Amino acid sequence: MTEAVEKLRSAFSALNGPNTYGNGRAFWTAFAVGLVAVFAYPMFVGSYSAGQATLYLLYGFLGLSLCFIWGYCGVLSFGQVAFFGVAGYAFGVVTLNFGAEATVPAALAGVVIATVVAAALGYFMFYGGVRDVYVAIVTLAFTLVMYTFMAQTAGREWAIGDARLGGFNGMPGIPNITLGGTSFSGATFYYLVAVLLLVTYLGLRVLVNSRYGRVMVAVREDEDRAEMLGYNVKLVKFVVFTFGGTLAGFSGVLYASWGNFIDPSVFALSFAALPIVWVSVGGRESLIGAVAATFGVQRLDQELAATGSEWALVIIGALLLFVIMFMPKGAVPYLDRYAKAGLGWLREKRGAGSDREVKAVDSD
Amino acid sequence: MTATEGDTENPRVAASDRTGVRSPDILATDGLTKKFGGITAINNVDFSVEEGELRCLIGPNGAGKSTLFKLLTGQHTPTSGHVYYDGEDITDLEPHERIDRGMSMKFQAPSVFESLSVRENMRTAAQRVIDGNLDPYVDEKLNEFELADSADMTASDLSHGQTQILEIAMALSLDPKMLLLDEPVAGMSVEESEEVAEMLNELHEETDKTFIVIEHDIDFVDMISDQVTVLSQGEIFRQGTIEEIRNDAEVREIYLGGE
Repeated sequence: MTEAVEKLRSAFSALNGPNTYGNGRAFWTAFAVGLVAVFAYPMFVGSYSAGQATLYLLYGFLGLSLCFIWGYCGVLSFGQVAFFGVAGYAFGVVTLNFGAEATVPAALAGVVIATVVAAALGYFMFYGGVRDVYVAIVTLAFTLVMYTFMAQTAGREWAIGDARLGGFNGMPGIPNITLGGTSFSGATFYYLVAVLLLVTYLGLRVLVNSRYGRVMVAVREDEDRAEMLGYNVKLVKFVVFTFGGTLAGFSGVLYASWGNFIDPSVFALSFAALPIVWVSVGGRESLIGAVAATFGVQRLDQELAATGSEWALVIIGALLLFVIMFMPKGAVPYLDRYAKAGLGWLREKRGAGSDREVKAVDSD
Repeated sequence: MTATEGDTENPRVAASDRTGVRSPDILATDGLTKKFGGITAINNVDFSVEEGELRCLIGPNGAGKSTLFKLLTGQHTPTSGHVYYDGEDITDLEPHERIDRGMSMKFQAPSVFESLSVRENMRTAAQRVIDGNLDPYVDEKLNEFELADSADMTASDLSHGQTQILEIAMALSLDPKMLLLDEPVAGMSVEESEEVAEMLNELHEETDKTFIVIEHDIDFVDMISDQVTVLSQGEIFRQGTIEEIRNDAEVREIYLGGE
């Protein structure tokens, strides 16, 4: 019994560390409340609205992928959507050829292909000496090449088996992800994505607070210093970038399955910029910030578009400018600082008597 | 590559033949040359250091001291020539592979992970050599370098001198066989410099580690080193004891000025 508790405690401590914002009791309490809200949401709004919200959740993987490589390893990729799109197309091609029974192997194929593409691009960049802002330029160029290429695939000759790539018309009829006879859509798909996102988030927290996370942060902070401590900087960037491709690919597979459709707009400049907006708004160095800002910004964008506002893009742009000017590290680090100051002030105000209480709770 | 390659294939033998001293060279370069465009920063340098030595490298600005260091660590690739370390030709090795073989370096401009705490900085170095729990080793090193009180400070809040100490502490945490220090006391107060000198002397006497120190401050050189190499315009200009160097008229002219 105590052994199990001990195990649980050490598993929990692996989630916390200097590389994540929010390690205390207050954070995990708020996290639990948020989690309950996320899982209760479909019960209040119904399946259709839950289906809409699923999109914002599945974009969360895309946001996390950029947060992971840019925020934790200093590699600014402007092309995460390329891996997202490649995986979505791959998922579409496999399922359109083999039907809804093949969605799981198709999802796997999509993620693997995105990973391989990211590995190839990463290899040429990092072992070819591409650094800093040039990584952003190369990845963006790659994305725009993909856009141009997919846009001209309207002809009949552009088909893989039964799956026509379709150019600007896109690829319709992609089936829902189907597991053991259950076709995931609406609220069920919402829950599937929410659970996967939770597991991914917690997994990434463990990773960034591990020894490897420390190496990633060292590379982000100072590549030369990291190299002179004996770390293989090129390999670290290559591995991290490749894994970022995996996460973005996962997002793309869920996206294609969610809308039953994919078209070249996933490679467009306007979409490529979105992960940068999400991660900048939430805070580059915060995983929870990336997920929350992805959800919030996309929700806002949808709200603005639905009310017929033509100002949606302008407002999102203004939001980005506001964050960069007034909270350059993003919302979460900013909130974290004020929350800590607030908690400290509360403790002080409650005086020495209750201070003992707080200490007793802490050492519990 | 050159006709001389055969002569110096085994620099250990070559060195002991020259000097008659048994202690083998831990480091030797052979015809090392580095050109940046039309400028020759390092010109055909044969530089060797014996194991356990504390060698100072001095020379006027632009003499090529830092460039030589970067050729030794692999941050620069030589235009021609070879670097031998511990009997092995390491010319084509990546920097991290050289660190794995027991080199370590402190940069000229203090270079630590500025937005991380002092403790995280030390952990990042310590996990190279320690498996499992890092904290006992990190605490030991923090105490040793008198950084324990500032362990939870962000590194960018440290004073200049403390930042230098932190970087030296990180470099030494790797337990290197050979440590390259590029101006370790630049910008330090006299007291801090003296502490560093004392620490280097202790390490030099008590361990068989090798130190190569680039330094401008001749008084500091006097405190730590016996053997001095003078670099000028990318070439070895003189090599000798600190006394010989101090009294060499030509060295005084190119480097020490009116001192």
